[in-house]
Amino acid sequence: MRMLLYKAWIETRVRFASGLIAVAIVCIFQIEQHAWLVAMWAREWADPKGYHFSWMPLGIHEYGWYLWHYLYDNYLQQVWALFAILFAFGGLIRERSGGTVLFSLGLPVSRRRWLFSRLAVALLESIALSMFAIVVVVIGSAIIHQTFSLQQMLLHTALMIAAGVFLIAFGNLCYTLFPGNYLSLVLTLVLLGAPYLWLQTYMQHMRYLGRSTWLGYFDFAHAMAGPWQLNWSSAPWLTLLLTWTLTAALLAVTVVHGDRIDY
Amino acid sequence: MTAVIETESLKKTYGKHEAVRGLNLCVEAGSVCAFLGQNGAGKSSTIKMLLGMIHPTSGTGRVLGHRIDKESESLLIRQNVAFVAEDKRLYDYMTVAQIVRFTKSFFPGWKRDLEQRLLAQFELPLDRKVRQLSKGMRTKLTLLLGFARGCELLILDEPTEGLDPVAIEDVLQIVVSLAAQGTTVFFSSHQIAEVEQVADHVLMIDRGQLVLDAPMDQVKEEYRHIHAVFPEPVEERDLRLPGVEKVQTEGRTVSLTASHNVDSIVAHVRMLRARSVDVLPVSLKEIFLEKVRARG
Amino acid sequence: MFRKPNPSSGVPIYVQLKEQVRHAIETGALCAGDQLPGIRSLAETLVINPNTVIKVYRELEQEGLLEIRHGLGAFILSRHRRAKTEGMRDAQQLVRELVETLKDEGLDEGAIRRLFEAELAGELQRR
Repeated sequence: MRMLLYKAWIETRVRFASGLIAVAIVCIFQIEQHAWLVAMWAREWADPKGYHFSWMPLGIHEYGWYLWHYLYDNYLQQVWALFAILFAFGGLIRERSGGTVLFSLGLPVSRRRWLFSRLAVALLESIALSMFAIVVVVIGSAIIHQTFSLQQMLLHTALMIAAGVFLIAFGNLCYTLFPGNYLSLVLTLVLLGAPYLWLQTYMQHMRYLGRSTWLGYFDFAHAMAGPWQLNWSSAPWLTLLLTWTLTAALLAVTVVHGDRIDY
Repeated sequence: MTAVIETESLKKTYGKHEAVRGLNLCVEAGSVCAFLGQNGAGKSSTIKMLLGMIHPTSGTGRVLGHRIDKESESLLIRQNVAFVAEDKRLYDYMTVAQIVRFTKSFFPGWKRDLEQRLLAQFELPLDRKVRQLSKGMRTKLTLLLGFARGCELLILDEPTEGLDPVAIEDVLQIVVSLAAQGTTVFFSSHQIAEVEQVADHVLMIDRGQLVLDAPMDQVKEEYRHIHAVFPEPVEERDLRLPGVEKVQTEGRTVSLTASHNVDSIVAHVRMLRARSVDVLPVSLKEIFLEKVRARG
Repeated sequence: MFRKPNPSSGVPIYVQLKEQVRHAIETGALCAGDQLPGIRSLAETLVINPNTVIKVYRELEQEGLLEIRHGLGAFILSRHRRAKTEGMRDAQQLVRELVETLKDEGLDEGAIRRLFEAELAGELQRR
């Protein structure tokens, strides 16, 4: 088992390193932008003819809200989701195009174990990536002399991962079903990414306008972000339960389909 | 003798293409059995079914007593069978040392001394990445990873493809050496010379069906070409005798290929007042070409 | 001591190897009490199937040319006399002369081999 994890790790370590760099860039950029954005919002808010949004006072006075909004409700979440899907890329179907699948299948390892060891590594890497983001934010915030609730940050990270497992499972199933090597990666990213990003932007806009629509049920980004103040009662338990059920179903389909493939 | 590989009317169909058409194989413990056939004859499909990599359309089989069509038993098969696939590519991001360590971890009976000996004999650099190895080196590494597993059954799909003659001889020598230590070897090939050299049993497959299943010595001792010249042209049907595989008449000259029963065929030919009768040995290559062409 | 058998000739490898052992005994290359190579090492040296070596040793044992002492190996028995060796040498000389004569008559190697084989096959028939 250790060797399977080791193999999955060697296969994804370049992606993992890229993920660390991307996360660092996003976090540092948002922290660096904080003073400038707050100054701009304050100007607009003070100007009777300027833009007025209900969230502006929060953005100006609450650094914690700022972090949640820019990182967990937007850019860090997107980058994290992208890399979580990338970490899950691989597997026996991909090995078929690489010509190594018969070597792998010749080892006394069941197809399920191949699948789950790889997904376990993808999950661990995703968790490590989100932990790294916290470290960057803690250091960056100290540099710009801002304080925030570390507990809230950990809770949002936990929610992002808890809901994000769905993306890993979904992405993985797509890789199994789509043809080609890099074509399947591109297809998966488009199929998952396009509706996710569009819905996220659209639904955020609708929420600012105070409207709701049935499309909100598909706003997965919102499920990963949760409400700003996250606690036991405000956590989106129902959404999480649904997400986990769907994740389990996707994994079951992947396993059954995977067992039937002829290599 | 116990059978280590047995199949019963094994079939595999891909869409409309029938790759394997009702194969009944039996490989006995302790033998070096060659699985001979052209490219696309169904060798790889059969082997992949034995190891659970593809699923039979119908029929079944057992390897070391375990059912091939059950995923849980297939795992037991792969614990006790060292398999080297036709595609000899390996994880190209690992170094030679890494992939040896990786493979070793799955096999408790790993032969470390053989591993060390072959690393030296094949001149494989431990710290080189697989992607930087030449094709021949990669093939040798893949074979090493199969040979050192210390399993009771070795299944090799085209083991010597792409190797130079020296390396082929090295590989055959290891096969022979493992066989002498009690390993059963089942290998597919279309290289007749190497099959003749090391195999003691031949299974010949053509278009998904078995066309020959015999001990090598029997093939060599009983298959004969009989060349006869008659005073008058003879009818082909006069020569349809048990054991006659093929008849070719050219005027007064007749060529027969016999798989057994040579003595009575010769007697019969003499009775037909043949002027001269020559009995010549047949090489496996000729038998192979005849079997394959006869059906073409 | 032994040459690699030719696998593509129509003659089974075990027959070729048996002939080689017999020849070695008849020419005196192997004497009574000499030990033959082990099965594995001979199979490895000649790169032939170990079962073939086993078959050769077993048949030669039955023919009284060697004995297999369990755990020790195969040893040449002393029954074969020098006379036989000499007889073989004479026979070889005869064949050599005959072949040369036939070659002088214009027959090529293939033709000579066919004549020999046809004759031997005929011999088999007459028996």
